[in-house]
Amino acid sequence: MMKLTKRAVLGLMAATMLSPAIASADDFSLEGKTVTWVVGFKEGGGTDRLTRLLQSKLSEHLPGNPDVLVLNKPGGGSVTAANDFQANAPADGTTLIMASTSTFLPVLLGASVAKYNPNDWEAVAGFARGATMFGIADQIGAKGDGADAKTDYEGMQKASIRFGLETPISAEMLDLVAMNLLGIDARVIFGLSSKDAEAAFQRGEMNMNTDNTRSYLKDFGDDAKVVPVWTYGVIDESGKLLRDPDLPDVPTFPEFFEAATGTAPGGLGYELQQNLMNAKVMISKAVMLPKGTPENIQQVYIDALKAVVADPEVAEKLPREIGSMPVNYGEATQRAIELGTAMDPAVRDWANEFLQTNYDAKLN
Amino acid sequence: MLDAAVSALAQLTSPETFLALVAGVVIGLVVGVLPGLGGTAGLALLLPFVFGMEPNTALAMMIGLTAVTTTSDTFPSVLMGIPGTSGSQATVLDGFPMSKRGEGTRALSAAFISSMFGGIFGAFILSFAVFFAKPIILKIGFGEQFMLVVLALSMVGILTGSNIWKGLAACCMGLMLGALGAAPLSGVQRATLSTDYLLDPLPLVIVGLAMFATPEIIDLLRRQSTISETGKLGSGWFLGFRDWLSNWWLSLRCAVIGCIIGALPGLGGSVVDWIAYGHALQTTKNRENYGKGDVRGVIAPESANNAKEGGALVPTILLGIPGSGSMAILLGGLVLIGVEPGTELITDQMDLVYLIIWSIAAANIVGAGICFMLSPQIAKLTTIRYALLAPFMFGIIFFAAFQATRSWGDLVALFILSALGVYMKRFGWSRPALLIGFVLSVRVETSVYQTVALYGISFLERPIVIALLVLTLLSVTAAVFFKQAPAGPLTKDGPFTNERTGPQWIFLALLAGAAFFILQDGLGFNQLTGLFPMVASISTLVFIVPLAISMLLKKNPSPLFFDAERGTDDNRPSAEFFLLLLAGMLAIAALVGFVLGIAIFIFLFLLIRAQVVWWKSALGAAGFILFLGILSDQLTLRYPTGLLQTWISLPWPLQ
Repeated sequence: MMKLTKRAVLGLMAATMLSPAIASADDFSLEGKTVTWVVGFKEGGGTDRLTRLLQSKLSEHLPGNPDVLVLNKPGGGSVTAANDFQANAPADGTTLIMASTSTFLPVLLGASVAKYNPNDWEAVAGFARGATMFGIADQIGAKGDGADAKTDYEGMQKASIRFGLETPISAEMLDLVAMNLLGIDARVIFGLSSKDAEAAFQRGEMNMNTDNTRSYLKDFGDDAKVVPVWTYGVIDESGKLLRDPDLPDVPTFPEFFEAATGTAPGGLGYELQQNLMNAKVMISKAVMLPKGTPENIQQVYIDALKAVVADPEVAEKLPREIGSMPVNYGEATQRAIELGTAMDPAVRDWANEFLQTNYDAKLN
Repeated sequence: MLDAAVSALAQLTSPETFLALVAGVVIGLVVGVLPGLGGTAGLALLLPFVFGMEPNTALAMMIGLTAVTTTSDTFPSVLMGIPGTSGSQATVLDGFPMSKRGEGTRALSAAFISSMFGGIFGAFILSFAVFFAKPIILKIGFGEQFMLVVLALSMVGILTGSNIWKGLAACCMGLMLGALGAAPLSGVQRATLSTDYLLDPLPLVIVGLAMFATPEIIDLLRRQSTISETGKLGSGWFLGFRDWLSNWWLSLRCAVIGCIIGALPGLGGSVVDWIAYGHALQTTKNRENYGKGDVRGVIAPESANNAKEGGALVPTILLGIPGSGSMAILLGGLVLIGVEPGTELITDQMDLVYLIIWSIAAANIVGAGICFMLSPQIAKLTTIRYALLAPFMFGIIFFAAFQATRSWGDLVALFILSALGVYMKRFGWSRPALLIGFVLSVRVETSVYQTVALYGISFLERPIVIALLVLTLLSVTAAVFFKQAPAGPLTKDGPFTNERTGPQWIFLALLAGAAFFILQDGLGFNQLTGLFPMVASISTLVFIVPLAISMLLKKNPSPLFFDAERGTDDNRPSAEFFLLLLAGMLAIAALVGFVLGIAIFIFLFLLIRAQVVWWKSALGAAGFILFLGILSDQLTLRYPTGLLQTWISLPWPLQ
């Protein structure tokens, strides 16, 4: 009883704060309904944690204060859940999905297992999460931290770089392409999940690694031997690439490239790099409604998510999950998804050539 | 450091924290008992509550839960022959025969004491390991991990059953099963049989249930009226304790093994029980009763699987890298409550680390205590007419399988693999060997490649690799000198007969066919994707060729042959009959959904097969619906739907 009253009061408060938005939402209410929030991964992973963090406050900010459940549906790195979402989710505001890079990447790369198109879905909110490449300074021949990119680059070309990742066709393809564009010849070891790769890096068997900025700072922020070489930055509203707010001194990849080689990066390979960067960084996580969800319901969810993100309890914990990049909503998220899921045919050819030559792999 | 330990103990003994711990323990025991649910499901259950809690309280609750799932999972393993979690698969081998002999209480008692001892030992080791283990863990590189996998694989040697070729081929079958689905090194889909289900590898829980649970349930249904052959329980509490006491040295060794394997990267927790079991077989005397109800076969895995959790916490706390599946989600929980594992935790928040350690120890004591109190009642299940239990057992194992990926594919996979398990049991193929091969398959595939790609052959020069190599050689030697006597006389009218071997040849032919299919599929891929399935399938073929040749040449009864159907009375219903019943259950479920399908199956089974009056049968079915309904509510589950649900939407709990 206590809980209900408290919830009702909070809901009322939220409703008062958001009254203009709710009025425009045609009195849409979820009262007495259950909202199912699909997560395509097991409990406890990053996507699940972020979802549960937001779930804890979502009900309060939705009209009618429905129950909000997180439904974990693991399989195929979220592909199974996404296929099901595309085919079966009702477009009435009772089902939403927490998509992630793993959901968008198969679409970008044209994998036949992905029988869905996130561009059909309605974006509510997108969570960007910065990523960085870092290494063991004395092994990779670089001082990092943006001090002197040219010297770092020369050092890295001479060093024997070892880099571990799961599979060639994955979010880490971004790092492979980046190193390839720079002409850095790394020894690449497959079959390592991000946790395995991190363990191998801690052991020194690998000497370069990639991770989201937040994890990098937590694990190696105080470790003088481990240095960030470049970040992938963040794209602002106007489409401009900015430095990662959590690592403001470290150059973005194009900045590093230009400082190292004297020319700005370009060509099909760089286009691929940008596609992959969008998928990996800009839409690291995205809250989405099914295809054909009415606009008023979209707006209700956009407003609710804005309120959830602004909630002090959530705001306090959010940086732990995604770092301090700004959250984007609605149209802006949809745009990022568009960029992160579509590849020009010429770029695709380049990608296939790149995968074939280096890793005997190709997109299907 | 002592200050921290004392202040942590004071925190734990505050009523609020201790109650939270006990609540965690209770939930942990419940999810441990239910097959298919384990620490992962339990922590998922807690996560919604953890948000509003004070960190210490939340921590005690989460640790309480993870620490005891491997205590209560012994109930189904020992009493029903159904592995409660993947950590107690090996316990089934000897624990269940003990129950059948009417010694269920004795086995449980020995198991709980071993679990408690292992758990406390794990906590004890953890309290030191947080200070010195980091450099050791960091020494375990690809080469060392590879050798750990080889050492674990060598345990197959002693678990091959009465024919070495069959045992080795069974292990390779496990490797082949592990080769289905996405390749770990390239992500390419191989041998998916064009199903979405095989995008991922087969789930371990399903393979485990199919190998042990289904064949045992069917066997019992055909054979006897109650699980306990005597129909009695036997008083065994004290006996179980004495068993543990006289085997304390074995228990200690296995606890050490559990800790080490939990802490080191490379193997993961799922294989701990098999290594401990294999170790017991290799190092103890009078081994002829293993597999037939030797209490040491219970003590070894149970000591190890609780100790594993303490071990697995070492890398979780020190490096922020989880040592097992439940640790992965515990790590998620820790981050949620604002505890960030890593070296700073040791330097800045020592009292929190001690709170974890004390919580493990306390949870193991409370958990084992509760299990002790409950077991006399629960063990009575073994004296109930089995036809009354069996339909619920089927319901539970299909529910358990469904937890793997929560899709229809889980149910189908369980059914198909169950058929494999039933025939492996019938024809004397080692199911433990298959399971070990399966559990290790991904590690075999990745660690061989990673080691060779990074070090070439030079990894053999590393000292720990050499030490592990010596251990492996010892393990293989033990296997070579271990002669398992065939169970029963070699006669023309017994299972070892050389007559009417047609079914065995059909099984062999199907196995060869499967191997050729995997081989053919593997040939279509590049080395990174195709090499492992090729090696696994070719090895299978290599091992069945000598078997087939000697079967052709042998003209009298021999351990080469085995068909459990020979030499038994033929009046009882066949295993195929029960497999068909299960297929029927899935067919009904396809029409009316999982919940109603199972309920109808239970109702009909009780009514017709167990000859229970209709209203009691209906009550049983309704009870199971309620059980599923409560679980779906608590765990946020959506059961597979059938045709019916596409037309009308049914209320809870019938969806």
